[in-house]
Amino acid sequence: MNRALVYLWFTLLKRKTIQICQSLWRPATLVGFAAVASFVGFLFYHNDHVIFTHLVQRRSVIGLMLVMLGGSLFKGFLQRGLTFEPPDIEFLFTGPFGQKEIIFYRLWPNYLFAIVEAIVFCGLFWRHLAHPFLTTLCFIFFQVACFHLRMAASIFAGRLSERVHYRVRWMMLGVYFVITVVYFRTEWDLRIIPSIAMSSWFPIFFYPAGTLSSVGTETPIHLWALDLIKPHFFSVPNNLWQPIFYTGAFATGALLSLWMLLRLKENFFETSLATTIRLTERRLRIQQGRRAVISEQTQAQSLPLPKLAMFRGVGAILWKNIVIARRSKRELVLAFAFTLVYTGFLAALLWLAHSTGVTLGPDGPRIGDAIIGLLFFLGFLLQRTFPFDFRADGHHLLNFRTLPVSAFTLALAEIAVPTICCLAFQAMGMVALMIFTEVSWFMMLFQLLAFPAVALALNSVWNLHYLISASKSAGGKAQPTSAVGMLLVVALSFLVFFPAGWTGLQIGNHVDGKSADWRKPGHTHRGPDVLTTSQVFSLPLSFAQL
Amino acid sequence: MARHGRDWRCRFSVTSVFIGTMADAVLVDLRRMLSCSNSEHNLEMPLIKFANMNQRDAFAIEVRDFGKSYGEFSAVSNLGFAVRTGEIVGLVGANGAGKTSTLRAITGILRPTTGTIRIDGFDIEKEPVAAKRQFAYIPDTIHPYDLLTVTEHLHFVALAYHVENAETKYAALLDELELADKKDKLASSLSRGMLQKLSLACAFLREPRAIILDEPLTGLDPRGIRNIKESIRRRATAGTAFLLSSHLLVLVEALCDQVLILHRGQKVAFGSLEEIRNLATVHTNATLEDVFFAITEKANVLPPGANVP
Repeated sequence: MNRALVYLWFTLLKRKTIQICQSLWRPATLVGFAAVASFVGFLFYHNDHVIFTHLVQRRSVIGLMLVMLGGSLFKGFLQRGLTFEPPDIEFLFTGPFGQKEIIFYRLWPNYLFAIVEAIVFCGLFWRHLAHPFLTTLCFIFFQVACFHLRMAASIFAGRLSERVHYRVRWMMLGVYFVITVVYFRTEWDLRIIPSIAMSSWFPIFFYPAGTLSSVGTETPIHLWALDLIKPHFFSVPNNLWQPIFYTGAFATGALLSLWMLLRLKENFFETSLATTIRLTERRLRIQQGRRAVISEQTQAQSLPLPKLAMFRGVGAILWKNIVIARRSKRELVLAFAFTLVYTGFLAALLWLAHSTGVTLGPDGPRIGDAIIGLLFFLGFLLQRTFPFDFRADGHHLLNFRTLPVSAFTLALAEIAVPTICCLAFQAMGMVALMIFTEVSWFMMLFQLLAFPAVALALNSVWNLHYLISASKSAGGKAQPTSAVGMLLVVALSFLVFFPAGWTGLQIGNHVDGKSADWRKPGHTHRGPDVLTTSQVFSLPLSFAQL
Repeated sequence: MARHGRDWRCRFSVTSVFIGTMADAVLVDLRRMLSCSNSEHNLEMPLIKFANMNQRDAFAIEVRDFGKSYGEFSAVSNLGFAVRTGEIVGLVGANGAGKTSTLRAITGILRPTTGTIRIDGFDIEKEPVAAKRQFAYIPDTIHPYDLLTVTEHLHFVALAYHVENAETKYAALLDELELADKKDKLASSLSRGMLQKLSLACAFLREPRAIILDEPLTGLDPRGIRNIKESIRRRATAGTAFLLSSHLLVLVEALCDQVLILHRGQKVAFGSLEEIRNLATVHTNATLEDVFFAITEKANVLPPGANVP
């Protein structure tokens, strides 16, 4: 081991620990730490619960191992190059360190992580394990092996051409699918192999391993896979030596994977530089509230100068955000897909309610209205998808301060586009749901008034949170938002439903009083049902009951 | 010169190293006086052999037929030059000319697509660790370890490069670079200029054979700029080779013995200012800026890939 790297690692670890301890003085960090500590404490306190027994059953453990192994290999393979911190590029890549030394330096945090995680694992599950110590050792060795494989996969993938990498990626996915199918078949007795896989010509998909001559002559893939998992294949004598055998096997696996990793002769500096720069840029963009994904599009047709008067002055910001929204196809597609899934789920509920004739009670709202009311929450979920406001303009805050417009109009112009986007997608969802059900006029009015108010309030809260955190830092640069801060903002965002809902109900009640004739017997329309505030906010609960 | 114990060159006696260095310095001075021709440094031409010193002692950095491609795109091609011991070579070129690719390949971060790069005689690909002991690299954007103090950065460098009597050297270095009052500050609290000085301190501490600088004066105040220029000159006189990339042509003109102009990934000029003035056929009082524009505009007329006469 290189003395300089050992010194560097321990000094950084010490400083990081001190920094974390010091940061506990800040209320936000303390709340977050207390929440995590309480959660872990809660788990420890209840670790004799039966659910912990289920989690350490053989089939659960094998499933978890498959996820860890597959995840490590995929993550490493897709990463193409090791991830370092930017200072490492400057000090380690150009320093007098061999590749193996640098790989070891990169592995130490992973080893530490594996040990800490194994201690927590042991603390949680020791009551349910026959050999807690040996099982924990197995867990450590397995995690270590996963880290080695991930690193080896990323170094190996770095030398592949784009075309080969793409092809191998799909082959890996295919293999992982086969393994998953076998796992479900053996451990859970779930038969999810499609019938196409049983056909005699299926081996052709594994070309060049299987050729045309294999069709009809070779053993079908599924029989081959099933043959592998016959009970004798993994059988180990069930005696006292079994846990020791497993521990030895995992330790050997960890050592073998390390040996394989260190034998790789590939020069990883170039690919790691590219990976590190890419991830650092991504991290910075997320911290600044910008899009994490950088568009690969390098050219776009410039739009003409807008002629509308509304785009003059502060309207220029509105125009700029509209252009950005128009170019953000990924976000729009994501929002559309999300709306489709959400609306599809609600439509399914409507269909279910219609087919079974379920209502929430004699005095409760009609089920159709209530389900459409759930679109209320779509705005909350969607507005994170449209960061065409201060969240995307965080690095321009200083320039905005010099614009000859008032702060209020500037803020309104900034949050206008995401608000309109939210409403547009909510409207799409509403139109889709209206196909399946009859909507009362009360609900229509409620939506028309309350939805814009909620969308506007939600975007205002998120932008306010962003601006407050940005103003903490000198020069208008955004600070990374803490998890606790995010949690508080989410809670605050929910609060905006109360005034908006209350206003909508008051208006609804008022209109309902003036339209009492709708309730007259014999009227074809059932008429509006007056919702109470508690009913509006218990909608999700009602659906849970449904 | 800091020489590591495991380095095979330790087998040479101190005397031979001393004689080699002295001879080297004398030759540099002789060359300056006589304004010897560009061909001596252009490795595409035959090298001059010196009887009393081997090639390793003569050149701190040698680049031969270097080329770097990213897929189909060729960033640098057929680049050859050398930096002698005690010499300051300026690397200039427009954005995208291939300067950073060249510097990163010399430092071993990027793999050359073609050609060889030697640092003090060690091939950066075949003997990377030995080669990396011989140089220090200061990139254009400094990324220190935020959680280490200034002194701890120096500790790390001292450990990594086996610097002897390191702590006695700290004080002088920190004074020279006006960092003495910042020695216990975390790097995250330092300004851009201070980070530049910290990076220079880390480079100077190891006393390498060559120092590679990418925009070394960015973020420094006037006093800092003057101090750093003096430090570079002093170390060059003591035998350290410098390869300096900068867009500040005034700085390159004032500091460098040789100038290498890259354009579209190709070398379009290499030599002393006087030599490249002749190449550009400009008047004798022309500044490097005039020469640079004259040469690159001449190269613009030629199709990409064509050799500039």
